[in-house]
Amino acid sequence: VSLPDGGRVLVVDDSAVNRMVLTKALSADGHTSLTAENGLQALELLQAGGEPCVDVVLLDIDMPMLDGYETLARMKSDERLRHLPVIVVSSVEDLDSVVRCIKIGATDYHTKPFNAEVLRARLKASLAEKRLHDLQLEYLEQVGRVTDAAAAIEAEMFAPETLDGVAARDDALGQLARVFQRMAREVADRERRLKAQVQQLRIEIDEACAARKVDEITDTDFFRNLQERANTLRLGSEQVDG
Amino acid sequence: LAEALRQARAVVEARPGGPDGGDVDGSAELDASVLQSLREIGGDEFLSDVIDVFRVDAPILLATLRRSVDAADSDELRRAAHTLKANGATLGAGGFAELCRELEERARNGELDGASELAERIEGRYLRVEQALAALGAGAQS
Repeated sequence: VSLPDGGRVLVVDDSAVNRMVLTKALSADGHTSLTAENGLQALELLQAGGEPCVDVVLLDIDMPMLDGYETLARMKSDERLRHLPVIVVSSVEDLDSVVRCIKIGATDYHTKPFNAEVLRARLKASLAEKRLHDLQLEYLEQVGRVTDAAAAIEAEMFAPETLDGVAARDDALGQLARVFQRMAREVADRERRLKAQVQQLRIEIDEACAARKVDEITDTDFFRNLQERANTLRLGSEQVDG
Repeated sequence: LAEALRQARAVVEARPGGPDGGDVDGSAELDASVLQSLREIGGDEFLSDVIDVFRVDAPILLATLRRSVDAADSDELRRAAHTLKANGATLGAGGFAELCRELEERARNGELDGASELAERIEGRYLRVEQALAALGAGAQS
């Protein structure tokens, strides 16, 4: 899997100085950043809309309104946010704080002033972890679409274009989706050909029926008698004219 | 903001000389390697911007420090000291950050005896940091 270098990072810190330094360091490394001044603001940002708008969170601990511990705990208890890597960047240096954060679910813990090299390496690993998670989610969602397609085939309601996205994959799941689409299109073609054949047969049957009715009328003594009388009348008329 | 700045500056400038309020020696106040790492992140202009933000925020935080000491509000005192410590450390003001850490620790433990004196030392030390930062800015401009 090839990963782009830049990620979307949320910087949560009540210190304007620290937000400024962190966002500058992030942009220098090709990341884009959002900022929040405390845990409440951060949660509002993360919980707005459907999917979280960031890949990684850099979280301070000592903040007003809602501190880093509680912010981290709320993120980890939220189904949609628990997978986001959280790197704590704090000037709280005691070991208890480090242990507490790791226990709640932090990916890593850095003390301020942060070391740019170490943070860069940790961010890279966290972004790779997040993107792997995103790929797994996407894969599961596409497996779901293939199983839905199987049910639709059974119910004769399958539309091949519903699997276009999955069929574009270059792995086994993509191949399975392409096989489904091809089978469905072949079945549809066969159905069309059969319908055309049935239509042609109906026409031929109708024509045969009509011919038989004509035969039934012309192959009678009454019809032959009428024909003879008509011939006689035609001959008599010609002699009078001559 | 202007009023907070004016008050904080008045508090700082009113301090007599002493262990943390005496002669200014910029090189002793700021860690050059920390400043250099900030330059490496964003260049001189960025460092100058960070210093500006620090110099705007610090007097407000010092005013909060003084107010919370007077009101014996250990929680507000701890938070203000903590943020001053973090900001100071970010700019390489190690001595200033260490004093703030000490006050933060005392506030965390609810030990407010001597907090007023420590706050005074922090205010005096800030004056030295501020002057060192100002000198740094003047040096960069010349």
